[in-house]
Parts: sequence; C-alpha cells; structure tokens
Amino acid sequence: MRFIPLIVARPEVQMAIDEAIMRARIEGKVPDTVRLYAFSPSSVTIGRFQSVRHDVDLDVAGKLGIPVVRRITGGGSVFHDEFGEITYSVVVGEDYHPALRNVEESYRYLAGPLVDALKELGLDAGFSGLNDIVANGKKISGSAQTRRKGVILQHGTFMYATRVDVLAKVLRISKAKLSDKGVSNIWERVTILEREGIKLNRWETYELLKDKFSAAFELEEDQLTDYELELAEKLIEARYGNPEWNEMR
Amino acid sequence: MKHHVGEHKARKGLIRVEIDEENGIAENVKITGDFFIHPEETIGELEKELKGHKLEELEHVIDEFFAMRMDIEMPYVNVEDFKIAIKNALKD
Repeated sequence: MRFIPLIVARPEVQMAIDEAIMRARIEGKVPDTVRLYAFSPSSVTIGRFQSVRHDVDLDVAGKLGIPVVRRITGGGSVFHDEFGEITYSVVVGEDYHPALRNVEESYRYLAGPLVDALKELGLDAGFSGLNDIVANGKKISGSAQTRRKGVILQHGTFMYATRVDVLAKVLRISKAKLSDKGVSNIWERVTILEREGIKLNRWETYELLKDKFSAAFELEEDQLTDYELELAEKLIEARYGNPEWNEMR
Repeated sequence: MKHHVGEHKARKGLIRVEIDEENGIAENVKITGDFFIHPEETIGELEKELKGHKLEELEHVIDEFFAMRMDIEMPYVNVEDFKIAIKNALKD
C-alpha cells in the first residue's frame, strides 16, 4: 500500500483529499492508500447526516475560530485538536482482505494498528461497539467509513492530548447518547493518552502510528498524484469549503 | 405549520426525525443523526419518499421503502429504529 506522510491542513482540505483518493482509487488511477494527518486550525468534522444546529455549538465554534466541516462518512461529530490528535485514513479495495466484506469486521481490521499502538504503550485497549476504540475502558478513538463501487474509505481520530474541555464545549452531545452509555458526562466516557499517564507529542504519536500501520499493511512512502490534487481542489469548491454542503442539515 | 421532533437511540447512533406538519400532512421530513447507512444517498431518498404523506402513513412508507431496497446496509441499525424515531416525533 501507498503511504502519504503527515499533511497538516484545514479541514476542508483534509476531507477533500480523502474523497479525492477514494475517487482516484475507484477509477483505478492510484493504489490502496494509508495516510496520517492533522488539522490546523483545530476543527470539528460532523457526520454526513448530522444536524449542524443540533450537534455543534456554533457560537462556541465561532468564538474559538473552529471551522466545522461535514464529512462524506456517517457517524458522529469529532473535535480535531490541532496539537492533540492525529487522524488516519485508509482507502482500500474490498477485495484486499476477506475481513473487509463485513462492515463490523472491516472497522476492526482497518483500525487495528491503533489498538496495536495503544497496547505497545501498555494500555488495556480494544474495540467497543461498531467503531470505537477504548483505552482503560474509555473512548480514545472513533472511526467512520463509506463504501462505493467496491472501495472503502475509513478515517478516524486518535487522541493523544486533545483538550477535552474544549471538545465538551464545542460538541453538543445528546443526553440520550451519554445516558445510553451509562455515563452522565463526557469526562467519564472519553480519554486521551495524556490522561492515561502517557505524554507523547505530535511527532512521537505520528511515528508510533506510522510504525503500526506499516507493520499491518506493508506501506511504501509516496505522495499524492497531480490527479488527486486537482480532484481535491474541485471538491473543496463543490463540497467541503462550501456552506451549501457543510450546512445542508 | 407544526414542527415535530423525535429522537431514538439505535444500537449504533442516534436517529432524529423532524416533521413539518400542515393539516395532518408531513410537508417536510428531515432525518439527522450519527448513524451509518450505505449508500449514504439513501437518507435523502427516504426523506423525499416520506414528504407529502399523512402522518399516520409514515411508518408504513418506511416499511415499503426498505422492503424495495436490497442494496442498503445499516450496521447496528434496523428499519424498526427509524419507525420508533417517527413515533417519538409524532408524540411531540
């Protein structure tokens, strides 16, 4: 698989690149691809079907200069702290491995390197539900995927030093969701590496994740093609940089 | 115009249904939440299908819509979850 080294950019750029890779892969123009990236400035991405009004506190986001971008994938809202999380994405043909045919198994297969990383750090880590990863019983990572024409795009977050107080302020997490998980507030549900006693910076986290993804998928470092960059530019205009898309629900 | 909102927590994800009602007719239906459905375009198609029906017909429309569609995959969510969200909206 191709590996695209860390890209730090705005949320509309990151979301456009993920979709551009998927489109190019569907057209057979690029190989299966793993990449790691970080958001700058700190951003919120919301799931394909989420309601901006219900699920994000837009006043807080506005005051803190946090852009809000809608993903192509379903699932929930994510706070991508500029210096507190790394996002991964994998674009892969469904025929790469038998585990990819089943949605539940595919989440675990593709996000497996994150669990490997947490275990190497000495944490009790594993999957929870469909798409979450927990460390010492609390959520530290979530993933989302879409499937089109035999190709999967899965992306997800890995929190090493996310400011959970900012996360709690900017995301509107419904009471129904928290009480369903048997907890009354976000602090009981979410954790970060730092809170588990492990202090890593962006580069250390990046190198650890890169190692674990390389071990799982045999990666070869390369860069995005001109075709993907052109597609990404069009997608920023048509979708991820466009209020019509971001505020559609 | 009356605005109904109902939520239901499926095994994975919250489903929120908003209905604009005029004289017993669902003039507009919006489905939002943090669930997954593949292909994603399904939700827009379902909203379109629900529009213009009497409130008491909505659950039946949901049943018919999903019965006709074999291409849809909803991890940890089922048709009943959408119907419960509608029921909860109409209680409101």
